[in-house]
Amino acid sequence: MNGNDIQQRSSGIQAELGKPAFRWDRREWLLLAVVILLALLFGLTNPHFLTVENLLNILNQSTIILLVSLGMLAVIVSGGIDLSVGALASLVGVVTVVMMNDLGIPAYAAILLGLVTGGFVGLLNGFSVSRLKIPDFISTLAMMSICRGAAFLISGGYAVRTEDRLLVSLYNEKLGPLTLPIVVTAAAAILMFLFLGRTRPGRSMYAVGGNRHAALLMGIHVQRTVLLSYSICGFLTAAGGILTASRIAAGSPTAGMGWELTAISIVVLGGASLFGGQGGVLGTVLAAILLGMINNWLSLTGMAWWLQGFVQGALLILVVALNRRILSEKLSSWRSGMPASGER
Amino acid sequence: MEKRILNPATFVFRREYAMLAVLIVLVAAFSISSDKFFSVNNFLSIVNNAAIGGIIALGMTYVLMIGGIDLSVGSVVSLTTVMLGQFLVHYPVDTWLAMLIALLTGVTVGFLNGLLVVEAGVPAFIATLGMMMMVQSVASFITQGATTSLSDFRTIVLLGQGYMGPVPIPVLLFVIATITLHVLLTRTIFGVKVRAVGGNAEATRLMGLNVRAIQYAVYTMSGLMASLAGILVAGRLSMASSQAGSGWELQAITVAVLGGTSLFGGQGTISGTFIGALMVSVLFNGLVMLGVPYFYQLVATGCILIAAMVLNEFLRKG
Amino acid sequence: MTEHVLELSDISKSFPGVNVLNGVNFALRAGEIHALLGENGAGKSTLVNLIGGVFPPDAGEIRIMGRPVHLKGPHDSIRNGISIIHQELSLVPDLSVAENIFLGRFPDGWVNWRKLHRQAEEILERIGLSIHPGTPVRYLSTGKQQLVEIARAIAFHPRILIMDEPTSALTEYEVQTLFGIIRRLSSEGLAVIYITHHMDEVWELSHKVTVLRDGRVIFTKDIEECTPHDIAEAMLGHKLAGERKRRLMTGDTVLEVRNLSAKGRFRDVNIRIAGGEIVGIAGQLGAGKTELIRAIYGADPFDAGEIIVAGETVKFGSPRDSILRGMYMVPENRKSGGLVLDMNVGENMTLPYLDKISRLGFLSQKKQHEIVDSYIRKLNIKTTGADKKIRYLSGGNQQKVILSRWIGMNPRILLLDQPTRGIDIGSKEEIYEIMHQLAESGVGILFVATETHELLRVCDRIYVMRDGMIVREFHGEECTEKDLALAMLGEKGA
Repeated sequence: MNGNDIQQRSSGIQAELGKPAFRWDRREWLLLAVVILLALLFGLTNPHFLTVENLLNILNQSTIILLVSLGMLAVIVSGGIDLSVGALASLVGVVTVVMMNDLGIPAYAAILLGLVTGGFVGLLNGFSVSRLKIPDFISTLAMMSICRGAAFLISGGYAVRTEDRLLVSLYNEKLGPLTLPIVVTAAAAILMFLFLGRTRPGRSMYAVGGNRHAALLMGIHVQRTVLLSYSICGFLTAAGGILTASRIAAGSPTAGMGWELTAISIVVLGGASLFGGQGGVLGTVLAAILLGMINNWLSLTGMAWWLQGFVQGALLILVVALNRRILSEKLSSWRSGMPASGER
Repeated sequence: MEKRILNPATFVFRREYAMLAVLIVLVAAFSISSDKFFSVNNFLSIVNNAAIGGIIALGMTYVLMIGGIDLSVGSVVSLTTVMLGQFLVHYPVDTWLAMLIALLTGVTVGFLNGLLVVEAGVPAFIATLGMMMMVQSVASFITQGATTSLSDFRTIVLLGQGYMGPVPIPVLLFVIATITLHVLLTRTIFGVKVRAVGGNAEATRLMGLNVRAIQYAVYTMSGLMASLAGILVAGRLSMASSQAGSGWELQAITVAVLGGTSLFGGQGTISGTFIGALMVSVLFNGLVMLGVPYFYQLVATGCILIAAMVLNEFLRKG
Repeated sequence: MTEHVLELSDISKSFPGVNVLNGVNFALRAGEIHALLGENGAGKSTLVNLIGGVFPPDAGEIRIMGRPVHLKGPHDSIRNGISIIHQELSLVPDLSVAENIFLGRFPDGWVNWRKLHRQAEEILERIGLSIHPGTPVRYLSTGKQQLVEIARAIAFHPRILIMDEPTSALTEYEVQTLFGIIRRLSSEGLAVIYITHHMDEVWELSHKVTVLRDGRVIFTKDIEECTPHDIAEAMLGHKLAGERKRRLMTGDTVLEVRNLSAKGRFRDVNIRIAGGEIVGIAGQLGAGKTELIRAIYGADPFDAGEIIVAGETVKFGSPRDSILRGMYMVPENRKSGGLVLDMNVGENMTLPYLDKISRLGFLSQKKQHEIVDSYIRKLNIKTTGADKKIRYLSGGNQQKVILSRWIGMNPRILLLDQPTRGIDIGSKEEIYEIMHQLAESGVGILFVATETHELLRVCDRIYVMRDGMIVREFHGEECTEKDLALAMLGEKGA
């Protein structure tokens, strides 16, 4: 009848037997395989790599960008994009520190306000995209300028130091063998996993990104979903910004440069499509860890730091190019059974 | 047949006139508030500052028009300056040969972008993003973080900082590039094909045109423009540096979009991009004249961009 | 007495320039399976969209359970118990079966997967589909996806179910399963509006039939009271079939298609066209006509067979190859496939042969205008000039621009896919005349028509396609509209 490939048929049959089909070609498997492979490879070439200390170090270094990537995931799944994350993180760091220094606000309140600021800016992004109908690329690009400018303005152009014990300790605080950043990021990842996987607003994000028209026809509040996705992104970015401020013990207006493109890379590597409707927390986490591992190994072995960018770029292109092959085959069998083109 | 209140046959012109009007208003406003603004020297300075980013934006306009994007241009600028450093200082060759090599780097990167988009089917955003990372790291690799002074090389320095009579050379090159690319787009069959692919790639394919060749050409041209700008940057900074180009891609996109180029393809003009480049430069220059701190300028750019988009939407709905 | 579940009184609807529905009256009872028939452009989709609340009627009233309603949107329609399964699959590929079923109607708060899956399973059972509800829809066969759509449509016990060509992607077995489901649901009180072009389905399934033509209801009858002939006649109407001197195949064969097959689209197609012949392809929606034309032109690939143009075999061609051999296509959808809307008349007309009117890469505006002006005169194209943006021309004039384009390139073969669709009568006549003249000058024309009477007017021979295969070949003289209709629709009848 139509061009069903063998995979589809077997998964269809399996599905009929009462189990969800098991897919071997999911991005998560590929990433996991690569992570394990590289871990072994790196471990062989460098004895320091596979130590517990180093592995924890890798996780620790990946936390901030992973937080931002998780936020970016929500936006990309809904079919959007957010270029303002780096600038926002910087702004939040600056705002938080300045509030403590100049306004005498206690640390925990300042942190809270910083998070709120992030969520608010995210809301503005969402409003601009969904209500003002400004294309997301331009909208968030403009916001990036605004946030960056504001960060410079408020900080006076220089990194603003802080010696507040609470803030500074956040990054280095240890909870058992794990650091606070790891715990916080893990918690965020789990919450996002549950949110995107199990809640109505979360699933609506996939619907809006995957088939916006159908989502609309089915009564999903598309605008609300988009607003929410950008707000979540702003919030998680703010968390990243605060941890950064903690790490460098300052609010820096130059922090966060290039974060948006790295976060997008991680999310796309993790299986998301820039068109929306695809991707997941597991893939994003694995991709972040993968990149973290590569960066770590490169510095451990004294390999030039410049290679990081190269590998990241090459990896991104390779993975997307390969996946499109597989994806286009699926797409053609999805379409081959459809009614004749356009005849009505 | 749809009825429209505004005759959209003039819409494209209307938008450019609108942008031109905004430009004039800005110039007027700044002239009033600061007497140093309205002078030939200052205007030349404005165009001079617009030149480098403007040249990149011209190439970007073509790419955006066929529905693509090129995020790698900034890194191409960096690599171009680095190449100049290599072939002028470290492995010296004839100056003009070095410049040719520098231009070729842009062409090569552009061609590779085209390869990824056309053959591998990688979305332009991802392809050029990945390429940007790779090119940037190659530039960093070659320089190992060090910068190379190029102040001994008169030709280069002249290109970036020199004058031909009262006119700065970058301005000259920018104007020449604008006119060339404008004529290319509006009067040659290549330009017609670019607009056709951007307007409806499938219909163009069905008419037998070689859509792939157009795509290759456009990406290659964007790379070429970027490396041309890179040479000018090297001249202006008198330096080869792997950081020379950072941020230029988003600047170029902003300028093109301000000038009326649509991110979705099919719409855009070179004259619009030219006006967009001037607008940004006028804004920066004017704010500096007024003593406004640099940081407000960033905020202002963002706000102008949003305002421009809202205006665009408003004009479109007619 | 069972009251009417749905009533449409005197419904009219127009879009800019086109009057789509005119004084439509329609009634539906609970438990009734009502087939809605009509050719392309008869107004079926518009009617469905009206009932679905996508837009309001210009005139007339919609009553549900006797009460007039003003539907403010799709959600309103859903609330009133109307469930529509559109022709295009509207599932979200990366969500699971259960999620697609409950999309937009999730219970508030935290999603309880187990409960959701159980509920989904119950619904799936009602239609006899045993799939794990957690399967992402992307991985199901198209037939199963169609069934998931149906599951979604009946999940919340609608009053009225509208199905638009639901069987186009189903196997025989699945079709029978579907019919069983529909019969069972209708016996439980569900009213069904069933849109199809398969006549045998109409007879197997429906209680009543309504035929639409040109936005009007021709008749509504009980199925026992009609015959396939009645229906065919109603759908086609009695239109004037003008006379044309029939040609026998005189010239050389310019196009030959042998055993052409493309999986899922058409099978074992054999066609021959001689220079100066106008050959038509008749067939209902979904028969595969457009797919065939596109494959012959090289726009889409094919799996097996041969295409021979003027004696030369073309293996895996492309539009460019066809053009080099003098074979051109006027696509089915002129806006998306044939024109660059942002460009002007002149550019659209001359795009494929720009190099002939340019020097050193520079377009000669003068030459272009000369050519365009001459065609504007010859084909009577209504435009203020070559510079007018093509999107502001009427459909008929746009089509003439497309034809001018190809005529200017000395065609050997012209593939015309529904060239008169959505065009005013005057322009239609002009286009038929153009086709005549082209044939007189030796061009071989393959013509897919929108309405069957057109075929009888202009064609020397007619192939009939059904379900991807050529089922009959008629010579112009020996053919009547009813012959064509029956061949197209399939002959199983009362």
